[in-house]
Amino acid sequence: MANNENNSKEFLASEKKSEEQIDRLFDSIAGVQLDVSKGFGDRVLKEWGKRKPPARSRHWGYYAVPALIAVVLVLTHRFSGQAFEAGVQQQVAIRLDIRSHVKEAQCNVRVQLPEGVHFYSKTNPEVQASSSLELPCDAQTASGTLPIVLEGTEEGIKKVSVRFLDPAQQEISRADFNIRFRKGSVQT
Amino acid sequence: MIGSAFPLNQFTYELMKVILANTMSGEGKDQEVEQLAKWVRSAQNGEQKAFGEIIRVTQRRLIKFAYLLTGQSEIAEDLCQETYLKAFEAISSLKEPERAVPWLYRILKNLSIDRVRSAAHQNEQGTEDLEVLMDPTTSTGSERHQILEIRELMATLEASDRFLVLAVHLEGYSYKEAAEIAGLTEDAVRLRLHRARKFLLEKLSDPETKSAVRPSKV
Repeated sequence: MANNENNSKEFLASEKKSEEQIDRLFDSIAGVQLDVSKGFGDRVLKEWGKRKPPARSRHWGYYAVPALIAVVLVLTHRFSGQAFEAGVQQQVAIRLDIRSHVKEAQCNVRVQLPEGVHFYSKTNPEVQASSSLELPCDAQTASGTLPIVLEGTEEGIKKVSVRFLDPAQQEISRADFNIRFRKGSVQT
Repeated sequence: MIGSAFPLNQFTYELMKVILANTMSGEGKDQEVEQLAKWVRSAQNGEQKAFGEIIRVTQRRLIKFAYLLTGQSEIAEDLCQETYLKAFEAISSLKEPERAVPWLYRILKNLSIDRVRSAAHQNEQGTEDLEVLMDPTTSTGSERHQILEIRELMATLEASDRFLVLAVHLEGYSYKEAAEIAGLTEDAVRLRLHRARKFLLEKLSDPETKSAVRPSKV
C-alpha cells in the first residue's frame, strides 16, 4: 500500500518535472512573433467573397425540390432508417429528419452516394456528377427536414450514407439507409 | 540557441522576454478574448468589416501554431486561410463568441490532417522558409534558430500528439480544454501528452540528436 502511494507520488512528480521541462522549451519562443505574409487578410477576404454562396444556390435542394415534386413522379418517404424501394431511373425523394439527429441550430448534412446512384435536380443538373454533397441545414426550420432527390441507374441494394456535421466538421450523428432499386416502376 | 550555453547578455534578454510575455499573458489575453468576441458578434450580425478584424486579431497566434504543426510556412498559411474560410461559413453557429479561439483551433485541427501529411512528404525547408513568416528586422538570429529547432523536434512527433503538445505547451490550454478542442477525453489527452513528452525529452537528452534544442534553465 505504502509502496503504491510512493510510486504514485513519484510518477506525479516525474510528470510535473517533464511538464515543466517542455514548458520551458516553449517559453523560450514565447516572445517570437511569426506573422502571415503581406496581404494575407485581403486574400482570405477575397476568397471568402468568392466562396460565400448566395442563399439560393447554397440551398439548391431546399428550393428546387418542392417544385420538382410537382412535375416528376416522386416517391416520398419519411426517413426513419428503414430500406426504401424505388425503380431504376425513377426519382426518389427522401426527407431527412434533421430534428431526430441534431439539436444544434446550424449543422451541415453530408450525403455520400454509392456507385449506381446519383443526385437528381431538374434545375441544377450538374449535381448529378457529384457522388457526395454537403448541404447546410437548420433543425429550427418549420419542417425540420431536408429533402433530397436521388435516382438509381442500376438494380440492387444501395447504401446511402448521411452524416450530420457541426460547424467544425465534427460528426454529430450518422444515419445510413438502404434503397433497393428494381427494374420498372415501384409504387408506394 | 535555446540551451544554457548562450552568453549572459543573450540569456538575460531571452529571460526578460519570457517574463514580459508571461506578465502580459493574463490581462492581455482577456482583452484579446473580449475584443475578438465583439468582432465575432458583429460578423454574426453581418458586418463585413468584422471578418477582417477577426483575421487581424488572431492571425499571429494561428500562424505560429500552424507553422510548428506543419513545419512549412506555405502549408501553414494555406491551412490558416482554410481555417478562416470554414469559420466564416459557420460563424452564425458559434454560440459562445468568447470561445472563438479554441473553436478556430478545432477547425484548424480538423483541416490539418491532409496538410500535415503533405508537409511530411516535402523536402525539409531551411531558414528561408521561416523568413516568409518572421520579420528579420524584429527578430534575432537566435530566435530564428530556436524556432527552427523546435519545429524539427515537433516533426518527430505524430501529428495528433504534436497538436496536443502545441495546444497545451505553446497555447497554455488545460488538459480539459485541449480535450475539448481535439475531440478527445481528458484521460486520452493525459496519456498522449505523457507519451509525447517522454519521447521529446528522450530526443533532447540523446547526444546523437542533431538538434541542439535543450530546455533553457530559466
